[in-house]
Amino acid sequence: MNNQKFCFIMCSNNEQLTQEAISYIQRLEVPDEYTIEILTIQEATSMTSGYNEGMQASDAKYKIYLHQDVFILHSRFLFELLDIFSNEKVGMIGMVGVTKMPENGIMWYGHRIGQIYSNCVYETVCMKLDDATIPYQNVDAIDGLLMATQYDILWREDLLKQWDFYDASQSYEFRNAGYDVVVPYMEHPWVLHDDGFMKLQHYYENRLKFIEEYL
Amino acid sequence: MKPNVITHEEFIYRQSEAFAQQKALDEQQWHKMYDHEECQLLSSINSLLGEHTTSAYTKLIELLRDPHLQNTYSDDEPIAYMLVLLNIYQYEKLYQVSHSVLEKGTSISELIAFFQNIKHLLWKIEFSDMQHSTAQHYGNTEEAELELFNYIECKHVSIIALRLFISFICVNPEKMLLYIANQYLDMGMLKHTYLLLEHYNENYPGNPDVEETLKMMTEQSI
Repeated sequence: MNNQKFCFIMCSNNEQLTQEAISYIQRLEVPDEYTIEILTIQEATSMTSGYNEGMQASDAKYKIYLHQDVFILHSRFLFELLDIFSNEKVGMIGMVGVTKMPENGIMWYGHRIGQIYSNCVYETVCMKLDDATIPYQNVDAIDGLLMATQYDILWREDLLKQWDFYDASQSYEFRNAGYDVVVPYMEHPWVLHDDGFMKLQHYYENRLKFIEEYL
Repeated sequence: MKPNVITHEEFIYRQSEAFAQQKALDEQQWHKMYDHEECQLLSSINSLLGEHTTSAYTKLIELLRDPHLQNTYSDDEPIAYMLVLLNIYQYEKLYQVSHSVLEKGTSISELIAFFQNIKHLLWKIEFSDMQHSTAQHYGNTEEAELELFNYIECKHVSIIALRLFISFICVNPEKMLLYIANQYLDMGMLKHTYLLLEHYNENYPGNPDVEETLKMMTEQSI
């Protein structure tokens, strides 16, 4: 394990978006003595399997799993991560999280904290939910748009075989392993999510799997 | 961002199993009712775009004018992009723009790729400005501007389209309209400047500097 390395891992099916996301990563300020690595996983059959492939392909201690349409704006993003991860109990960091998971497992409907810029074709907005406490706040789960870790825990590709609930699942895996999952306090959003609209065709069947396993 | 105000009871209900089950049923029902129609719609749109003619674009406008289609598919990503592009196209027609936004591709995916390019170029400028970031991100704003203006010129993107793109794409379109207008003014491209300021004034009236500049430009017949 290389303790001075960050690895960015993306499942990719859109070269244009992926290259744009990479261009933002390449502009990040990198702490002295640290290196970065970028892995894009093509033709993943699920987010969990794609992320496992990326995780196992890198010896970086710090791994940032992000969507191909997420652009990291905050140039000192990596410094912020190191700051928060200096607390060894923190296992995972996200940009948006739910403080208490609703009984139905759908984190969007719970009380959420954090902020991002988000584009949904018709407009780009500053999606500012409630502020996390300074310097960061524990949550039950974080949104999958960006998930940064300092420990490797396998993603549940045995359980979740598509593109939903991998984020909630991994949050619970980390918490069940005794780690905290947190959202940092941010003055302004650190990332822009070129989101569009979600496809929810398999969402609800995966919801049942999540609930059965974790709630 | 407009607040989505709901009652406490609604907030609690949305966290319930009953609500999730209802949403699941709604989703299932939607696909049962509309999957086939959606497929046909996308095929029709692609076919019309492929014709690359004014009459085809007119048919496209008529097709997507249908309230049923707009209500049903406004959250469908390819259709949403088409609705925005058709909106822009109609404005371009009013201004008799010669290289319309619909001519930038012969399919939905090509037009989305074009749209994405514009988004990415505008964001590079917007997020290099300190107003949105705690730390400057895209260090070289000039490089970002050059990329945008070169792309606009190379692809014959009209200023009518650009000003609408700014409105759809930017977090702070008011500031970006002024910013881009100033860049064109510095370049001596006065007609472009005028059109951007005109759009600014329509949407954000009451800026005396803008009003004064527009008045002056009108008097000079720009």
